Amino acid sequence: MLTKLYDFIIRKHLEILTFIFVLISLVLLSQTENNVVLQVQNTWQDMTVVFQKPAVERQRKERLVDENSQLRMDIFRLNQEVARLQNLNSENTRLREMLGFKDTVSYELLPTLIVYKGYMDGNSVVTIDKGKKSDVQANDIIIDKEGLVGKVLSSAAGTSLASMIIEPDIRVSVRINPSRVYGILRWHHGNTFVIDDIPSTIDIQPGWSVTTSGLSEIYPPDIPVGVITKVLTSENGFTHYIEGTYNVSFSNLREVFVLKNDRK
Amino acid sequence: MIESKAKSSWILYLVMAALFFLSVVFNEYVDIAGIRPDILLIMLIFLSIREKAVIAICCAFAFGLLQDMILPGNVQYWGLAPLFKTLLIFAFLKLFPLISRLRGFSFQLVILASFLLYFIFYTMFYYSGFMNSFAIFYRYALPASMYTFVIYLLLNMIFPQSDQAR
Repeated sequence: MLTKLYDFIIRKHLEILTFIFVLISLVLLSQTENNVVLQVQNTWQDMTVVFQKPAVERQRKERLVDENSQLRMDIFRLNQEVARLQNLNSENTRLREMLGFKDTVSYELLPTLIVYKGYMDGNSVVTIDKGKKSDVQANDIIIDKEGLVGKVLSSAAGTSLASMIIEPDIRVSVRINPSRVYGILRWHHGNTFVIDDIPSTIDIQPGWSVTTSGLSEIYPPDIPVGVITKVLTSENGFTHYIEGTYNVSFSNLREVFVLKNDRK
Repeated sequence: MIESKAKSSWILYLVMAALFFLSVVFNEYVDIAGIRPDILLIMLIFLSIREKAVIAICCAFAFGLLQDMILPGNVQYWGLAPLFKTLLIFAFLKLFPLISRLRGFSFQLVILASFLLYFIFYTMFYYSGFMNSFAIFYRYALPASMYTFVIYLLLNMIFPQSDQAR
């Protein structure tokens, strides 16, 4: 009996090995966002960031000159905007005082660099060069100057893993402005998203902006997400099928900010 | 003769390990319109042709695991790369008696088909439900297969494979 079993194992060792490996792979497939795996990835990224960072820094420097001239124009435009907002803010403060409200939300921005963007194309998990030493924690928000990028999944001492909102399974609670309609946004393809299940009786126009709603426990309100490009009617005829493009160009991302939310 | 073959194999594996390391560290420099080659897959094909079947299948699983566990890329499909890499190499090894009879263009065509098969399964699983199958094929599977195949051909010119036997 044992001899037969031994012979069988010897004869079919390749099939047996393949079966075991497939089984392990299937078990792994059922382990979404496993903390042990995240920790392994984090530790590895912490060790290899020394090799990755110089290449990233070099590429970054090449882009700095272009960005500098663009930023000068932005500063001029934003100065005008700041002046206008200061007026509005003082008016807002006065009105809030009259109503007895207080600002309850304050954000702290931590500049950080994306040092790794995944092995294959279409990957939506990136590594940033700030970790626990800089007080970066899971569920901190990642933003770019254009808007929402994603959230931190886990952090090691010097690096953190962050998942971008172009991850196929991620949903973001958003608000469409100026109509202030709430919806759930999901990635579509490339740099586009869709929002569906909004009643077709509500008027929504292409060009309107999409921001975070603040209804989520993770994403704070009013972070720009994208712009609506198409408003279609869904197959059932009762709801809109809204397509849009993200503000952030995910393929060109390099410098981002970690947003520390005091609400947490 | 045997020593020279073994030495050539080691040089090949060192070159590929270096290539893999460079493609990980400078992954944006090898990126063409968001498409990157899978150096690990090329390594596996070379291993399947040159080494014992057990080594090839173990490496297929280990490399897939390396891709998913060590190199962050996605969080919802851990295990996808080891699964499809193991299955592809298993099929390749089973068909190797037939494949090894092929020469020149036909042999390279089989390698391209293997890459294509891997990327079709991988991307179809990864993007299923978000795009139609044809879009997944021409946006992700086909370009990634072609890019990987070009890198494979370049390596094959330096280290010819079709005349190798295990």
